[in-house]
Amino acid sequence: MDETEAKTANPTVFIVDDDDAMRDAVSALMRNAGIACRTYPSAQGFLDALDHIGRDVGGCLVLDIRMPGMDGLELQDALTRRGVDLPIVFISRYGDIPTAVRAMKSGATDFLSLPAEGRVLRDRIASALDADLARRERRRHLAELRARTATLSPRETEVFERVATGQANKAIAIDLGISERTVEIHRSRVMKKMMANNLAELVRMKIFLDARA
Amino acid sequence: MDSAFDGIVVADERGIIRSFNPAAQRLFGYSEAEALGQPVGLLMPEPHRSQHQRYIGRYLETGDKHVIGVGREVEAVRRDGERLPIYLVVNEFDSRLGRCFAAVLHDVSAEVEARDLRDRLTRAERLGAMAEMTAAVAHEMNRPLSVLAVYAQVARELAESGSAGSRLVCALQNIIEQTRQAGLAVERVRRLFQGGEPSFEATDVNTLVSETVELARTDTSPQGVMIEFSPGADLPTLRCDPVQIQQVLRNLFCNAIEAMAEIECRNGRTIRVSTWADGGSVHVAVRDSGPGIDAQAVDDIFEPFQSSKKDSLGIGLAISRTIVLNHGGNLHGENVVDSNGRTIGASFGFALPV
Repeated sequence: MDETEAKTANPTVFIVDDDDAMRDAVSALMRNAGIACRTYPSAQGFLDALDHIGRDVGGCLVLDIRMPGMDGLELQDALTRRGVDLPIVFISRYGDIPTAVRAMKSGATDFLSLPAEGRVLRDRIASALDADLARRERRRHLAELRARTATLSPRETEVFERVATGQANKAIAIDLGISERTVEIHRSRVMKKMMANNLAELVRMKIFLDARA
Repeated sequence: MDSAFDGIVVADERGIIRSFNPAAQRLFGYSEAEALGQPVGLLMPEPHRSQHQRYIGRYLETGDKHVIGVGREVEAVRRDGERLPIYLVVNEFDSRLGRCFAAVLHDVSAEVEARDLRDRLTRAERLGAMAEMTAAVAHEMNRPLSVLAVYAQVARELAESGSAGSRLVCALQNIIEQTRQAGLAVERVRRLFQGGEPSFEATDVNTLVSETVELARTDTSPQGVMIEFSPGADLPTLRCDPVQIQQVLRNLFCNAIEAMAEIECRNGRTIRVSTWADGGSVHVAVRDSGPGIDAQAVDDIFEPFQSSKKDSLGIGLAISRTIVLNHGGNLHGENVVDSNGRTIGASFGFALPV
């Protein structure tokens, strides 16, 4: 952790590489780009630090595939088991394609064979950070929507399910054995609680929630 | 003469074939009747065919021997025009026909074929060594080049932003340092493949091995490794490149030490080095008491970059093999097994022709 302590709110690039010179070089590259970073000389070192970093940290991992002790692929497995889904940019100085294929199959975001132009490495890290931002945005959105649905009463939930799947008020009224007027009242409460401006938005929320149920 | 394995052709002073044994008939494809009375030049390629009579004349006049009494490899021509490598010895004798020349012709085509194959293999080995060297350079260079590429970008960005401060100087200093590292990497690989062509000198193998063992003791004693040397008696002096052979031995010692460092060794950590002479070769064996060669790795251990050790480049055995092959020998490795069939170590060794 020889780089400035990063605030968890800011995306942080975690560099795990047993080569001192490479860690320093990538740190300097990140500093130029104004991106916070922390470095670890071993995979175990990063795992040990993970408790302090926190699981919901934003950023990405720049991970050397071949290291003495725990190697890059083993760290990837360990992170998956712990539910840490930071995007990973694997780097390798050995041009080992089979390893790269394995890494990508296990969900690595990217793989870069070194030596590569510094500009390319910087751009790949930037892409991984973008992917992480989108990932965290989706996660925040999901948590928000789930919190909103939790405020719905059982009857409102029933109406939400039916409105969002395109049923007309009249059909819902018959289906639930209540008056069409009562459906309208529930429906406007659902729109308000879910903070949907129109029916289209409500439908999109339902689809988003169902896809991650 | 008729049952002789080698072809025997007798010609008189005028170069006329006077005798042509069955082996010669088989060799050349002429019957006896066809050959007798023909000029012996018939059996030779040009320009010797037309010059042969002159050769005899010159010899009779000056007494200078070119082939007579001296064996040499020459080309003969069969009846069907095919060329045949033969080993030729010519002797002269007096008979009732006057002075005659008897040529003994031994078919060496099998030997020549084997020699060609060996030459081709040697060339292939050389190419293999080059490929190994190329791969080793790439392997060693990648590390500094990877770092260089990043610092070059950092320096460029700093220069473009006009901040020619200490960070730019630091980036440039790193570029200089990594360039130096790249140079060292090339030098290291070059040294590994030292010389290429061995420079041979008369060497006493026992002295060479015992010197190398003494040198190795400084590395082995701190690690609790014993190293024993049993020199063989009456070893012939060998022509070899002592520096390269020492390099092979040091590599085998290093491998043995590393192999034994990885496990609890039941029988202690001991390297046993022995030498002995046998036939036309001097043998050197380096035996350890480690876990032995992994059964799956046994086919690959002499290939470059096949290392079970994480820090090792894995080209030591490949280079050692190349060196031994350049000396006309062969490097081999096998596991040492006790009477219960349990592996109790690995043995690597080589035999060098005297």
